[in-house]
Amino acid sequence: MHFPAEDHVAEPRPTPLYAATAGLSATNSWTSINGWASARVYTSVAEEYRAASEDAALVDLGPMRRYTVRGADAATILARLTTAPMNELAVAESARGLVLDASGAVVDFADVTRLSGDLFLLTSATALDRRLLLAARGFDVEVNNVGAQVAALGLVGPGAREAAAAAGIDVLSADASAQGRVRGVELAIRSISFGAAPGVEIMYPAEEALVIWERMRRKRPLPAIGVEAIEILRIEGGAPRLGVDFISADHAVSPTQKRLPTEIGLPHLAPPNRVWFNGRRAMKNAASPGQYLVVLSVDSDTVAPGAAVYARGEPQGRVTSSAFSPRLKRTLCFAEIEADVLDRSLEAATGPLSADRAAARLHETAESRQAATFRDGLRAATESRR
Amino acid sequence: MTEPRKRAGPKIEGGIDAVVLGATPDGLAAAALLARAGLHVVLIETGAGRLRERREFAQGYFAADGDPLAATLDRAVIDELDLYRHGLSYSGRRLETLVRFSDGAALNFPGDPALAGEAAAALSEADAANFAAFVENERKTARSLTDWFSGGEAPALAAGLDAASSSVDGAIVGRFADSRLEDYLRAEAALGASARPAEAFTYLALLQRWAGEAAGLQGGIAAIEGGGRGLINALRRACQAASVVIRQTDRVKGVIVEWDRVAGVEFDDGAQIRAPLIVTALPARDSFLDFVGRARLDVEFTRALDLPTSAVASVRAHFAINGPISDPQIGSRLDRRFLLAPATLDLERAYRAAAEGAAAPGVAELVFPSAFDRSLAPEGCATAALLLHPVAERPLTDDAWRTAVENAAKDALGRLAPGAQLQISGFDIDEAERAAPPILAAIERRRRLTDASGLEGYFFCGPEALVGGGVSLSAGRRAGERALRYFKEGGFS
Repeated sequence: MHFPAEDHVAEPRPTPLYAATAGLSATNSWTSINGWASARVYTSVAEEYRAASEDAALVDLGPMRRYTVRGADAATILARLTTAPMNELAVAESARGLVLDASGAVVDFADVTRLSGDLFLLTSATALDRRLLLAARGFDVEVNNVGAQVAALGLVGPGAREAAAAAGIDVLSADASAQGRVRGVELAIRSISFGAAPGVEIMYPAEEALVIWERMRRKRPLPAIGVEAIEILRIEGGAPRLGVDFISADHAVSPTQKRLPTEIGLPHLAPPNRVWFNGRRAMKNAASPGQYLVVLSVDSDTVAPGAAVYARGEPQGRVTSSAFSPRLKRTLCFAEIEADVLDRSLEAATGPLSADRAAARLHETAESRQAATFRDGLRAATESRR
Repeated sequence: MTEPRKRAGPKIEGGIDAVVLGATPDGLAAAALLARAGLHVVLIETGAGRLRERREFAQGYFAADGDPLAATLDRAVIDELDLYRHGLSYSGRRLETLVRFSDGAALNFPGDPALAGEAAAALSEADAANFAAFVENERKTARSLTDWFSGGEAPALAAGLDAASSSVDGAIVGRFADSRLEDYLRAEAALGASARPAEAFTYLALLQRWAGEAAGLQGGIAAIEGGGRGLINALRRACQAASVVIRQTDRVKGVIVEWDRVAGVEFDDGAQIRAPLIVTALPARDSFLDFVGRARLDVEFTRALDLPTSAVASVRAHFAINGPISDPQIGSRLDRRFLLAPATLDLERAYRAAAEGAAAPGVAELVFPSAFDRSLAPEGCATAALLLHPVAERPLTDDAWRTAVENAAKDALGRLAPGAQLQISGFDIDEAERAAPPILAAIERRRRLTDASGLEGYFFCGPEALVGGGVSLSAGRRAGERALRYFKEGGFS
């Protein structure tokens, strides 16, 4: 789970947690995501990054889109709309998936949690209202956009679970999510991975926004983390960002802008051998990818989005987002490069208008490891069938 | 010794190459084509799409379902299946059209369009050459688009672009000194269409009416011997000759889909026919939503099935006419087509009224089926089938609407045959038929439905795959050809 690209709403709405996050903002630097006010930086990027990568930090997950899907056919329409493995999802479990269009191209990310037998929570980066309504037509299901009604507090970092436990919110295991009550406030808790960082997401009614926040901070005065520090964690983890590293198929103006799951490095989120989901047939029959989105590690202090990536002296791609990783002491960037130069030695220009080039190589991330394991598994399965 | 135990449980049939759902003309054509190519084909004749026998609506007078006229029968199907040998014949070809205008004047448009100029001269001497040139040019354009209309690739833009984007009004207004010629063309284009002639892309509808004739098919507008049933009977014989197994059942439960491929048809009692190829000639909602199920179809695809369709419709009224028709212009020549062409504003008003739920049609097409088939009416009497367009779509149970249609039909009949003293001894109306969508929309819909479900081995040639009005068989041919290609390429193995 992570945020989509920032938008440019002049006066974004305050999230349910705004009253709390505003109090922590020393820089008063804000941006808008999905029309919601999000802190760009609270105190300093370096401090926030350190807290999240070494201990734990609070993040306001309010800008994500949230839907509840309830009814006898809820699992059916979510299995149709998303690639998440709905059939295997037990109560209190969560699964990651993608939303694909009829041509098999990625529209959005989807995190699905089964709250009870026929009640599911769907979190996505962009608005899926229309798609949900279309998918639900003809089924016994009720879809509600609950984005404005819940406060969503995230805890990211290796110490996230302990910090939650210290506040009396117990997350049992990595895969478990639960519904419970803390001091009379109804909560839904699930574990998430926000970029590279493991985390916990706590959702509860918007009216109680400050109750849980205060409770969390009273036990341990955790810092909050803003969008810029999250961006470093995200690139370290190898999670592409919607609207930055690739465009949603719904926003593409030509078919060449659409991206298949495998092209953005997430084939493991849409396995072609899973039961039918929207776009699966088209995805399976699609031509082999012309380009891949990969994370590169560059021997340079700066690489800016828009810079060219070279192979054999020719430009073969471009950088889509970049960050300096304090932990790795390296510059990492997402770049989209031609499929046939993946195994070549690469160079990246240090800026969109720069003539300087620095050596670049593929960087292994948590996400790319999963993708590689998945591809190996698929290849082995195909070979054993032969 | 004990008898071998009979296996209980539903029956599962194998060894079948293709199942065709729906005994519509297109379904029959597809089944026969596949069987002639050597496939073992089972055709399932099920509720929807079954044509009824002719019915007696007044004592001694019969009416038949469907359009009594055909203009665009697919020549490739006729040749391939040898339909003429199987009994397809015409009781009238190159029918002429007697057009009656709002001022009472008449134009006799000949069955041979090459004579259009002479006919127009009778109405307006000044327009004769111009009208002949216009018709000739139209036929030429129609000929270049014939393949596209029948399901082929879109033509190169340069040739079709102008024709494709114009409205009928854009193509004809101001062309002729006598505006009644415009009224005639406008009425032809409006008949059965949901788009009014002033709307863009409607000129295609006019061209499509000429396409069959232009391709040298059965010669302009023709009356099939025995009407729609005559065609079905010929196709059935072709199916029998090709050893298609025909079964009647209303118990189809659904299509079996295994992974992304169809694997056969399942019945209510659990019985199955396993086949790697299914051609469906049933309506799209039955074919996809009922038989396959939304849960296995792309959201974008099912959305196309859910789109609201036009509320504008046509309705066919049947008259039992007792005794001879004394109108001098209609007179004894009943083996023609009669068309009521309203003035521009009246047609515009009729569309508006239809959209608001009324039955005040603008265009009317009159045919005397008994002139082609004597058995439809007693000796010396006649049956008349009058198609009214546009009207609102209402069920037959709506009495007020029924009365309005009856009045409108009698009024239209009176205007088509002003001098006739008709003794009407019986009246009946058919269920309203939804108007055809604009042709470009129909072509786009056909493309989506036939290509985009993504289910391997499932081929659609139902009513939504048709473009424009009238029976054509080309959707069945195209589906059959695609299915055969799939079969030969072994896509199912």
